Amino acid sequence: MAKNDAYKKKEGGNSQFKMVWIKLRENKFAMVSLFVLIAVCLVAIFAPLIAPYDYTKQNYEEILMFPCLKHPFGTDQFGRDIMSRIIWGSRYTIVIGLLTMVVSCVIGTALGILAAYYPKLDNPIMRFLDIFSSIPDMALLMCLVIILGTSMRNMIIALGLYYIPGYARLARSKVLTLRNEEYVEASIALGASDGRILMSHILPNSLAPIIVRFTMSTGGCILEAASLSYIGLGIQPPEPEWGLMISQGKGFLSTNWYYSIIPGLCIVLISYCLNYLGDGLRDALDPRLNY
Amino acid sequence: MDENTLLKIDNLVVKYFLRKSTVEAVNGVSFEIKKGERVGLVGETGAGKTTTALSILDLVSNPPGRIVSGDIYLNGENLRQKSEKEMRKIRGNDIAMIFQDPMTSLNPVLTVGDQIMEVVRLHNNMTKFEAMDKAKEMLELVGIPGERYLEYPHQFSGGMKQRVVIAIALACNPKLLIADEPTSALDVTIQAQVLDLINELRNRLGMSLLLITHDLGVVAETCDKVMIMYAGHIVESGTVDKVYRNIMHPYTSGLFNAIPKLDEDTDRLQPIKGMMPDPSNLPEGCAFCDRCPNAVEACKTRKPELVQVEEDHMVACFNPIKKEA
Amino acid sequence: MLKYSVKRLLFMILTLFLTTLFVFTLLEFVPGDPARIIAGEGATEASLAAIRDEFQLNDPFFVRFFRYIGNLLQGNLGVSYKTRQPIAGAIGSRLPLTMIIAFWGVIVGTLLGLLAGTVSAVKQYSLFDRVLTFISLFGKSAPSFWIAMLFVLIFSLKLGWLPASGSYSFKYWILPVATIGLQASSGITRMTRSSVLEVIRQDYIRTARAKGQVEWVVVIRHGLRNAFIPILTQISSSLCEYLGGTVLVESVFAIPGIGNYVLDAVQRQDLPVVLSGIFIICAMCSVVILLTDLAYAFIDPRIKSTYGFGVKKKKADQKEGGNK
Repeated sequence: MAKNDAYKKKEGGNSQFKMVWIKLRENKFAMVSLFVLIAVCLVAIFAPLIAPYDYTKQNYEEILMFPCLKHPFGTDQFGRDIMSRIIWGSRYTIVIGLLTMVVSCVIGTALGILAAYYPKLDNPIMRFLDIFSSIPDMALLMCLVIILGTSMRNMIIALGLYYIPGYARLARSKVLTLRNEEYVEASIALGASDGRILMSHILPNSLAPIIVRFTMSTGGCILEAASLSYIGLGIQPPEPEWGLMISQGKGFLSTNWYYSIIPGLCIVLISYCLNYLGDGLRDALDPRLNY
Repeated sequence: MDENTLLKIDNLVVKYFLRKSTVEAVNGVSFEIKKGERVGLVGETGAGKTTTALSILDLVSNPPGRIVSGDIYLNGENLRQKSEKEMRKIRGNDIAMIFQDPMTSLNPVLTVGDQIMEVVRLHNNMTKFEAMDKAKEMLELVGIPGERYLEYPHQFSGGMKQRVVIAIALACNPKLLIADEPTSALDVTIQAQVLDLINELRNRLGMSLLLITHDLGVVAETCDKVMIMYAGHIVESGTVDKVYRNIMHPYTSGLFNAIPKLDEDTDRLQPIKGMMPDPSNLPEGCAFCDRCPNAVEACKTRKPELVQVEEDHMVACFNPIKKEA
Repeated sequence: MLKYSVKRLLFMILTLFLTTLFVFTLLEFVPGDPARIIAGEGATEASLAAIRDEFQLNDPFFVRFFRYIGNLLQGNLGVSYKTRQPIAGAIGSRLPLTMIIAFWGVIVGTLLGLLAGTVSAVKQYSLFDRVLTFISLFGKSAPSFWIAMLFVLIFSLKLGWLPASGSYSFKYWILPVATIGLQASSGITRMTRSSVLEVIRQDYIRTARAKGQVEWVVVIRHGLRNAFIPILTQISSSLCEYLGGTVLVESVFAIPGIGNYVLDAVQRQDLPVVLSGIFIICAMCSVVILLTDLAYAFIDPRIKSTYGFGVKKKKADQKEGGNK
């Protein structure tokens, strides 16, 4: 029985994920976070069904209403229902967060593997990425936005570019250390091709840190996206993006505090959950921490 | 209590409380060390040797470990009733400890001189300069040129590092030196040097020595008394002379059989069959029962007590090996 | 050590040069004719030509780039498209404010983070540890501009203790510094906690305890110092982040800092200002990173010896070890 388990684990098959899942389930914070994130995704998918009002509908009879039964999160200066806008806005947050991460994760990992596998490419790729990441985040993002222009697609491209170096470095260092592992050397000695080693040994074993990074960076990415929208370089009005709503509410802070505080709370909630989930995943995936 | 007794441990029980299980590391260990006596504590990895040693200094990492019960007397004073402040005066001063791996037991960012001075100044009322002189003197004592006291640990080789560790341990003339496998991380060629050094300094300074090792040969060379430990119990103890001549416990016998002998022509060593039981799930009876060739019915249900079988020789076994006539 | 420092300095200048080249190239791709950006929508062909002459926009790419670098070396950061004022003066008057807020923010964050992280590590899994983890995650999860607005709401609008915006005196800096401090402390707390946790399991910590050393001295002298390199890296990257990224905080508090200046330029497509602003931000970061690198050597003697210090002694030791 024990032997069988050990065998399966080496294969990186189902049982490893099962073990991670079992460990993750013990972590209450991570489980609550996962639950909340799934709920947010459902809200985003079913936004048209859930939202109590049309998020674009202006109603000048009900402008800047405080949270009440009719409008649980109040209304904005055009009388639009903030709760409906937040529900629709979750789509932006989730789509931007996920798409950006998928793009940068795939490109970054590929670049990192290329750099690690082909020494000739190593220096050019990594030095270029070094230059790229030597520019502080907001400066780089502003610079990219000025070229690309402001739209959702361009924001995803800009953010995606910004996150590439991190993944590339992670993948490269993981590949370089894994290549010196004895079981990889053994399969090289057995004549396995680069591609086979990559698919059967290196990728499965670098998955854990990449998953953790993915989870955690999604949180960071959502913040960056909101920041860009906040300074007017991201999603443009009248879209109900959360960062944008905070920015619009800024002028009403002294009279209608909920206007910008509530969208902010939503960002905090999602980001918190992603961080706790990332922490939980790291604990579950990192065998060093098991005792 | 005997005037001559330096350290007396009475029924010591230490457990590690982990999330899912409780590891019973030390289960009712009792022994005495007399002034100037050299005692060897032998056993395989995980037998609870290091935990026993750390308990003496009250350094069992807490959490998860805790001394559950038992008393430890130093010169008749119960260390278990001392405050943390009083214990700090004893650590490094009355009782010093050398750890297993010299590569990691020195702080990499402080000079070796600083690290010796630290213990000197903690326990003696010395100025910085006096302590510096003392540090140099200690380095010379362990065979390192005194002027190297400004160097950092990474500038020393493994054997030299262990010498520094010994210098730190002996800097305050402790009454008891605990050496936890002081040579197992070193090259074989260096091992003998370090052991000789410990032996020589012990003879010169006259303190008691508790030597933890898994090497019965080292014990024979260095110690007056030996204790064999298995799964948190002492299974056999006595003077080296008596125990080595008249092995009573099947486990001790197994340990001896696993040593290659120069005068016999055997193809294979005889390892002890099986594994040590999981310390978080010890059997009800004797812990060695499953691996024991001499096991009898009583072994499965009752734990054997350590009883005296001859002068200076005790064993915990229901069916000890009889000496061949 | 000196040789290493010089080498490191040269490397820094090279990186900075390449970064400038990179940004300069990027800005070439900005859509639209720079002359039209300068002149505005309804400009005539003649006035556009005049502007092209004035700003030397017709020169080839590398001529313009090296002219820019040459100007940089003379301390000339170029002229704004919009105001036609020298950029150096504008940046010079804004830089101190950004630096004050970023430095103090990071100092506050460092103090909070070191304290909280160390205590959290020593009391791992205690209630205190969990509460601190929760608070430090807040700094990581909440957008800085939102934290800033929360502070304004509580401390200026509700309690009326501190001014909400502007930058006229010490009082005005408290909230921005607190915002950055809270955010910076969250990363530093987490790094300190994990780094100290790693170190505190080491054998030399046990050795120090076995010497009879007081626990807090063990933690600080033997633990924190060994754990400090990753923490320093975190502090330095926080500092870089806030030197370049105070734009969010600056915009909430309406602080005329460099971040706001660049943001303004981005919105108006004032390319020379964007370029020089980013150059200054990168230059400050490069200096911070250089100093951090050199500081490593003072923390860890092993790094110092790889910098070419004490190598002789190591060789001597190896010889000695070999003879025995």
